Amino acid sequence: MRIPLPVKGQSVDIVAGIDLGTTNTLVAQVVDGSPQIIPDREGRRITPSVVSIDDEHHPVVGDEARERALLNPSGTLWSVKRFLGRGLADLGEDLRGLPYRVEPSKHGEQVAFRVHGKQYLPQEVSAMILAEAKKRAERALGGRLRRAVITVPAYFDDSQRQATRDAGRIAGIDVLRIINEPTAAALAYGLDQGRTGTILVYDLGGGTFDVSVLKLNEGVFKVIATTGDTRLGGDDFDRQLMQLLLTDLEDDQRDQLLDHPGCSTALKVAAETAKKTLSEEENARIRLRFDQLGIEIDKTLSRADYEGIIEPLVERTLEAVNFVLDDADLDPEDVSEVVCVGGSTRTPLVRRRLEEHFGRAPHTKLDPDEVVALGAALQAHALCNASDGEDGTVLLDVTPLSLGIETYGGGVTKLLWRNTPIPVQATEGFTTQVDNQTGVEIHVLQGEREMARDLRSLGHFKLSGIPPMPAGMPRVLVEFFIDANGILKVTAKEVTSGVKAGIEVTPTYGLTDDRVEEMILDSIEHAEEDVEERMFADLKAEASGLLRYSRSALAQRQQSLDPALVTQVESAVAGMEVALDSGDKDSVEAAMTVLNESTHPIATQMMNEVLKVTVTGRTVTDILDEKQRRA
Amino acid sequence: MSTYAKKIQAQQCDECGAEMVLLLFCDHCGVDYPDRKHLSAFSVLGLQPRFTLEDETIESLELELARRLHPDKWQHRGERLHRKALLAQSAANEALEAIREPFDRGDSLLLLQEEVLAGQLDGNNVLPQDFLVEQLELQEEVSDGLPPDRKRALRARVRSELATLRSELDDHFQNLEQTGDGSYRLDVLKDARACLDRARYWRNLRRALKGPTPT
Repeated sequence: MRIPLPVKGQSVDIVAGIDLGTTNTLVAQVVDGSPQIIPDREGRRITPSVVSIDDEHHPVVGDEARERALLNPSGTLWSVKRFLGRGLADLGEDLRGLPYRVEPSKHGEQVAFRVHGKQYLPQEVSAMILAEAKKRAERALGGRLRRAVITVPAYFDDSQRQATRDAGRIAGIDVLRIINEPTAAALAYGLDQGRTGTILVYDLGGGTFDVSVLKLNEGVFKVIATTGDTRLGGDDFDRQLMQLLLTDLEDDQRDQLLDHPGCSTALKVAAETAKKTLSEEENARIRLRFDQLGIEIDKTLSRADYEGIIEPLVERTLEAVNFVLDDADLDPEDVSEVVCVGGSTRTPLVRRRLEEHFGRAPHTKLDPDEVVALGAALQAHALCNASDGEDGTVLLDVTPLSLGIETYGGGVTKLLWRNTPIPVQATEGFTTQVDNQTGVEIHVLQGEREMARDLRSLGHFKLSGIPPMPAGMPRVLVEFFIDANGILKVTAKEVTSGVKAGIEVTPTYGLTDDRVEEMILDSIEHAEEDVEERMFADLKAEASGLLRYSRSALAQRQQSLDPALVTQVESAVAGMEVALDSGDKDSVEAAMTVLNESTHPIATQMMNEVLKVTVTGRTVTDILDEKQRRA
Repeated sequence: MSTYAKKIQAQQCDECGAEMVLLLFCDHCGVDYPDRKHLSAFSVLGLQPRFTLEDETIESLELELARRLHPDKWQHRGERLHRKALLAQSAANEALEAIREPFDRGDSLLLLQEEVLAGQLDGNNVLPQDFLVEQLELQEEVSDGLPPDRKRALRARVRSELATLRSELDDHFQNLEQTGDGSYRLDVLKDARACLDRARYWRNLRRALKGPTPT
């Protein structure tokens, strides 16, 4: 199979694997039997998972969104994945130091972002990221991306999986399957090719940590144990470094800095840069000047300093490694392969500790940032091309957490234990407490603890339509079904009368199906319009956003900008206005490139102004540029 | 012919005569047998109801089931068949879980007996007070948090207690296979029930020693 060339009026069907990450999002597809990342037309392989929403509620995603963070700190959303399917109480420390506002949503207990007076759910924002990744792939290949496999951390609970799938649906994607990131990684390494063994996948990404043990037997994969920490990752390394950079400051200076959106962003970038430098070099000098706060930082850190502060975090990951081995009844010697996933596994300390622990070097051949998307693409390809032949990989997954229902007095009855292979169903009978009772409410919980209050509430299921009978007579059979995506479905039937009981689901941290449908209808993506037309509509929306951003950047920065640059931007703005009026796609595209290029130095200059940061001779903008080139 | 078939009694589909891997659904002609749902986990999987069962047998059966029934394999066979395969795989998983662990397997075996004995095993086996008191104390100790070496020691103890119970169960079930009906048989069954009840406490403790999950 070759990459089909785009033909006008006839679109190519892209079946993709999408790694929707905390920090970055990647899209891959299988070409000629091997998975490849789909770069966009500019050659970028990564879409940063950042969304910037301007005051007219137009979203910009990715690199451009990151650039706008300084002008629009409260409207630029990072690490959105941390908020998927979560409530305020789950987030705790994560809420500190955020430049944007997080608040309770109107839908159950899950959180939402408030941007310029409007509420956005994490699912919606994630959908924007997915839509952007989708669009980039479609533009690059001239096709249409309708179906995809999306990955989640193995430890994601039902609410988080649901939220991820809903994000995909809102973005107009038919989500073929939600698969676990470690499983995808093992697939990408081709570990499924006719071998037998035990694989440990160590995935330390930007915001999440996962460790899973997979058993491989004649092409059938089985996740036998998995654990993780949805709040541990490279961002925490940055945070530790940020604290280290702040050690010499007074308490109030520290608070001032962290509470100032622009400055805290600058500090974060500096810490990130120092981290990268220290992964390659022995020392890094970090100099920061925050003129508006009268604060200056000048520190030289050694790799030993860095490793000293992240050591406890790395230890925590190894505790999880031991835990998962214990859960699988294995010793480190029983593990035949160790696979590294996630950008943070580039940290030398991490690789060293893993090698010590297992007595073998981990797999690091593939880019740890790309492995998951590559594996997802393989799975998407397999799902779309599967025949009932003997070849082909089958994924046998397990439920990450036990599922139970609340019993009288706050206890819990476990219906399905952790690590049960899926798909699986459990049936439980219920009855009524009083005569002629026509409804029963069931509280479904997920987790390992013994008391309902310590467990995660998944939702309340209300059974109605039970025929009036004496108390204790009706036998309502409720079937809990966990599908191959690890997502729960509930159905109910009253046995005595044979009446199918109505069931109303109120997810504690998610959206009802009706609401998702509404959101799909709301999004412009749903319409089965002509591909060209739809792309042009998107392009125009994007161009208008860029135009607004450029105008406001000019208005705010005119005094401090180089006059030649101002003229250049002004003419690019004028060019864009003309192009938009003309309604010609090619001219809009050309005008966008010009305008993008001309405004880039504004962002650079602003960064430099605010930051005055250097890390061993490199400025932050050098590093950002480098990052972009690498991406 | 795959290796699993040598160890497991093959069953034929009533409709097409093909060899079935799961009694509930024929992956050859697509016929399902909903009336067999009440059969025991052993029967559904085509296994002899025995306590002694090699891990390998279960594993190769599981692989064979996945290869033939996993819903991913049925994606393109139409909505109806896909749904049937989904239910079949799910039922297979449920049955496998009921017999995978020796103690679960013991429970499933006694469940088969209980149908015959109509509740005679129920409620007759009150465990000794000192056993229950110790279990309660251990549970409390664990939930208060243990120092690492005490935790290790307790884990080792749980392992050895469970190993002992397992070999006792092995003896009881072997005895059963050699005994006919009568009161002796009921005594053996009661002994087995008591072993399984004790095992339940130890297994709970083992679970508590593993968790709570680090998050």
